[in-house]
Amino acid sequence: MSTTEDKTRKVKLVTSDNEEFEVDWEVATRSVLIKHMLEDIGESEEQAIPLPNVTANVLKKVLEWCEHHRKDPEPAPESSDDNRKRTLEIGDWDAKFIQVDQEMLFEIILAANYLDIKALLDVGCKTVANMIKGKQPEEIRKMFNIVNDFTPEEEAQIKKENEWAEDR
Amino acid sequence: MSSVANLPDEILGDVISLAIKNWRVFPDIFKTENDFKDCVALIDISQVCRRWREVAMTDPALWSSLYIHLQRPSTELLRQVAYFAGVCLARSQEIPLTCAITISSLFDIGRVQPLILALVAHEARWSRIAINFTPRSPYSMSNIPRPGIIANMSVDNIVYLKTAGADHLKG
Repeated sequence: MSTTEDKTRKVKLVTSDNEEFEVDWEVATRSVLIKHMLEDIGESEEQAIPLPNVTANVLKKVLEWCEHHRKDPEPAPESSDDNRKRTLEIGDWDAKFIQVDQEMLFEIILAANYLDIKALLDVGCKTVANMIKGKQPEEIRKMFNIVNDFTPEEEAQIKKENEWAEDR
Repeated sequence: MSSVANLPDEILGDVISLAIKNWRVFPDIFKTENDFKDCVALIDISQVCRRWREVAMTDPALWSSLYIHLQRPSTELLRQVAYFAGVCLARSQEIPLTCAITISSLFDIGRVQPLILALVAHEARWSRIAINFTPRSPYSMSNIPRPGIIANMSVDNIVYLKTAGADHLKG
């Protein structure tokens, strides 16, 4: 539970390339990882939180998302029913936010995973899923620069499994 | 440089799950003109490369929903669909199954026997199931049951199909 004092508190974050960011407690604690680290260090406000897996340009982008979503309610624990109802829809602001190049998109996903920001991770995963949806394997390979590393035997087996779909 | 290759398996699995929309809310399946794109999408995704295939194969939940909508299928197509259903049923391991199958303009019900028997073999795992077969033409002669149609199925199989799912209705 956050207190009024927490909400006015500033938090220092240090990226892997040694850049320091000072942000509001409410913004920083969108990250469950940072929240837990702050709980561990207690009242020592001057102590900076090291984030060795995140570079400054990525953290800047992640903090932009955290700032916009600072007032969002804490996510409820996941249930299988929630999973069933998941759709590929992304809110307008998030959709605009995530319009970045592929490298930044994957950096944001990895950072959200490391920082434990589930809602941001969800936006990233849905964006990639939307890119994949309805595409042929070759189109997906081309889009993400993936090498087809199947052996001829594996290709033959896969073809057998899927011949029904090809004939439609 | 970060790329899709850097994503951990659990995130890639989540992306695949989202991409195939495997969590479609039942029973809206028949209302959405589903033409088994979910199944096709899963096939396409599992053909991308070895890693994607491994990630798709190691998550039985991805294979636990079978949505098949066929219009006027040939005998060969029905055979291939039965094969694919078998693949999905095997890969879904012990996960509860959601199956929605609609086949319209069906000339001969005997031809769907392999598909139905594959499903019935996993009856214990049925979670939600809807099967809808319609004959080729409501006014055609083929709509009238002929001895030949029944003859294609053994008596044991007919009895088995009639009682399949009965356990789910109890209580």
